[in-house]
Parts: sequence; C-alpha cells; structure tokens
Amino acid sequence: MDKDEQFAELMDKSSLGTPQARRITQRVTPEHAETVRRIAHLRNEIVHGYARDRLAAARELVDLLRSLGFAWREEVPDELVNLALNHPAELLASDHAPEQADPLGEEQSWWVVSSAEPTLSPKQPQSPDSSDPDGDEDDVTGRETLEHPTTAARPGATAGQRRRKESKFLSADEAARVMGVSRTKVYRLVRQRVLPSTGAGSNLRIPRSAVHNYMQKSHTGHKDAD
Amino acid sequence: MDPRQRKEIQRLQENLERRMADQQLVRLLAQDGFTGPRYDAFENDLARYAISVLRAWMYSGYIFKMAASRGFGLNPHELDLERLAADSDLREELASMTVAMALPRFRQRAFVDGGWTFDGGAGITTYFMGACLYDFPNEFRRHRNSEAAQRQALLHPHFDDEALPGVESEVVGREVLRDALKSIDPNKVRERAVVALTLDGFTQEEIRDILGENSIRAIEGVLHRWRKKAAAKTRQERSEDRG
Repeated sequence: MDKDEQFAELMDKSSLGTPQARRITQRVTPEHAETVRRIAHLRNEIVHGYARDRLAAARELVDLLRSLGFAWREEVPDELVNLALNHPAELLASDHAPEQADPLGEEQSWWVVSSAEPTLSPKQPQSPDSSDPDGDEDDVTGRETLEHPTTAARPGATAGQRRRKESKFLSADEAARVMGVSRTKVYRLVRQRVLPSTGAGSNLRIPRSAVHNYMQKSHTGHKDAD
Repeated sequence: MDPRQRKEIQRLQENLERRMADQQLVRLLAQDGFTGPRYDAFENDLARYAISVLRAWMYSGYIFKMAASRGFGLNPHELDLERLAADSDLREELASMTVAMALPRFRQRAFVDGGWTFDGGAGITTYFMGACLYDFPNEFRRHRNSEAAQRQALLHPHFDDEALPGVESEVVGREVLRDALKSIDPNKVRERAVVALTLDGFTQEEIRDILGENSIRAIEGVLHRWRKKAAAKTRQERSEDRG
C-alpha cells in the first residue's frame, strides 16, 4: 500500500472520518477552507517574514479579506502600514518588470506605495511572453499567467498580455467589471455556487462562459418579468 | 451486562480506535514534516470541520459556555447572541478568522512539539476545537470593539426591529428560532444550543458531535422536554385567551 492509500485509509478511520464528522465537514466548501488556510499563511508571513515578504503578504491579505467582505484594518499591524508608506523604495526595489499596473485599478488602496509596485508574483516575466512559452492560455494555477484587464488593454501591453485578454477564465475583479457588480457580489455568487470557479481567494478564476451565461439568464429573467 | 452498558463499552471502544487511527495519521504526516500535499489535504478537512462546528456553536451561543469553561468569560450581551444567531456572514467571518489564527499554532504545538498525544483522551478534532477556543475570544473582542460593529448595533438595535432580508427561508428560520429561544431560560445554554441547532437542520448525531454529548438519547431528552414545555405553554396561552 503506498503512502497516499495509507493516508486515505487513516483519514477514514480518524476523528475526521466518522459519518457525522464528514457531514459536518461537508457544510463548508473545500475552496473556503483553502482561503482560510491562505489567510493563516499570510498572517504567519506578516509576523515572521522578511520585511519585503511581509509587505507583499500584507497587501495580499488585505485584498483577500476585502474581497471576502471581512474586517481587515486590524489584521495588518500599524508598524507595517508605516513601513509601507515611509520606506517603499527600499522595500520594493526589486527584479520586477517596471511597468505593471496596480491590480486595484481606480480603486486605489490605503497602502499604495509606488507606481512601480508589482501587481503579481515576484516571478514576473522580464521579457514579453517569457511566462507563456507554449502559448497555453488556460493555465489558471499560476498568478503570473493572468493579467488585470487594465494591464492587458494598455497600449504598451505585450503580445502575451493582449492575447490573454481573451483568456477563458476571469479573476473575481475581471468578472465583477464584466458583470457590472462588486467583487463581493461575485464572491457571493461563487459561494452560492451560482458561478463555477477554480482556485481560491486572489487565485479564484471563473470561466468566462459561465459569466456570460449568468448575464444572459439574468437578462432573460428581467425580460420575462417585464 | 445490560444493553446500556454494552452500548457504552462499544462507544468507548470506537473512541479508542479513532484515537489510534489519529495517532497513526499523525505519524504518517510527521514523515513529511507536517508539510506537503497530504498535510494540505488533512488541514483542509480539519479547517472545514472546525469552521462548521464554530458556526454552529456561535449560532446557538454554546461557544460562550465553552470559552468560559476555559477561563474566557466573554460575557456576551443578549444583543451579541442575537446578532450571532441572525447574521450568518458574521458567523462565517469569526469562524474563518478563528480557524486561520488557530491552524499554524496548532500545527506547531500539537504536532511539531508533540502536544497532542494518543493517551490524552481527545481525538484530533476535539483537540483542535480546544485550540480554536483559545483564539475565538480575541476575534470576538476584536469584532465587538470594532467601529463597524458599533455602527451595526446602532443600525440594528434589537433583533425584533431588524430589517429582515429577502430570502424567505432565512426569514422564516430566524422567526422560528427567535420564538423558540425566547421561551428558553437564557441560563440553559445546553437546551438553547440543542434547540437552535435542531432548527438549523443539524441531525441529532451531528449535534451530539458538535456539543460533545455522550449519546443521541441525551439530545432526544432535551428536545422532548423542550417540546413538552412548549406544548404546555401553548395550551396555557390558549386557555387564557378563552378565559
């Protein structure tokens, strides 16, 4: 028996494997649990990470908590906020591509520290298309493979960025823009399983077709009601 | 040996086997240093379980009894209890943040430092819920102290006056719960918890697990007494109306 089989068998026999524990567990989606674990990781990073990692973690945490509609102001220590505001250059001098748009677009955040602030993971491509050598547009697992719409539509956007504009998947932010609703509303629809999704938190991706179907149904519903 | 004793022995036996499986599971996870895909899968299930239980504890107000038993007298106001019963988003937020706080510490103390042991008497889930109870007070106080909470309290000064949302089932659910809980003495936390969880659709087995009761019969007993009291009260009200 390999380790995975052994693990599955032990899980079934453990405290988490009883029928009632399973029923209780099933009341929460795996995606939500993943988001909570991500929050735990980011909080840990804020407390124990290096200054630069702490800043990035703080940004992601606040973004994530805001998207969930949770209180977030007390989650990030004041000291880190001050650090971000007063010493952006030292913290952010890095190997990132310089012309990344802010992920928040017009919705500027309290911690915005520099126009050169990277939006995505530190593994940003240095040259056009280097993140997508095989032209695979459907990879929704890596943050660096998806772009904010404002980035993709920019005149200076790379070919890869323009191509991914038509990606089959949308982030919560992009879906919200397409649907003309708030990001919180998008997350609620995902939670209610009205919209299918993959990933969690800031990595959440929604099929473009599902967004269009939802809008079409809403539109038809309104017309029927008229 | 009477049937009750046999059942008790069987329960103890099952409990022992579960804890032995827990121990083997922890050993397996230790081989990977409590990291990697298997630990992720385990932690995911543990988080799902804990969030669900915490939400149920909050919904029923039982969490304050559990916290008090560990020395955290949060002294919730009646309005706090009502908001927790009425506001599923708030329950979700507090449960999620509590679990997020508890997970890394639990991994370190229970597993890496060997704080959880097979012979301690508690299974992993019970042990983790205990860990959550140490983090819940901070999250609850943070929420209670936040300006947003105070604003909400001003906007919704009382459960009775609350602007109910448009989801029919939720409205009906809240009204039934409100009426039911009004009829139970606030000091009878266990009875309130059993009734609230029953009305929220939990099965008696699940309630037994959530409240750490020994048997389903105990849950049935609480519900039976509550129904009997409610029926007697209704009869009395009717006779007073006629009189």
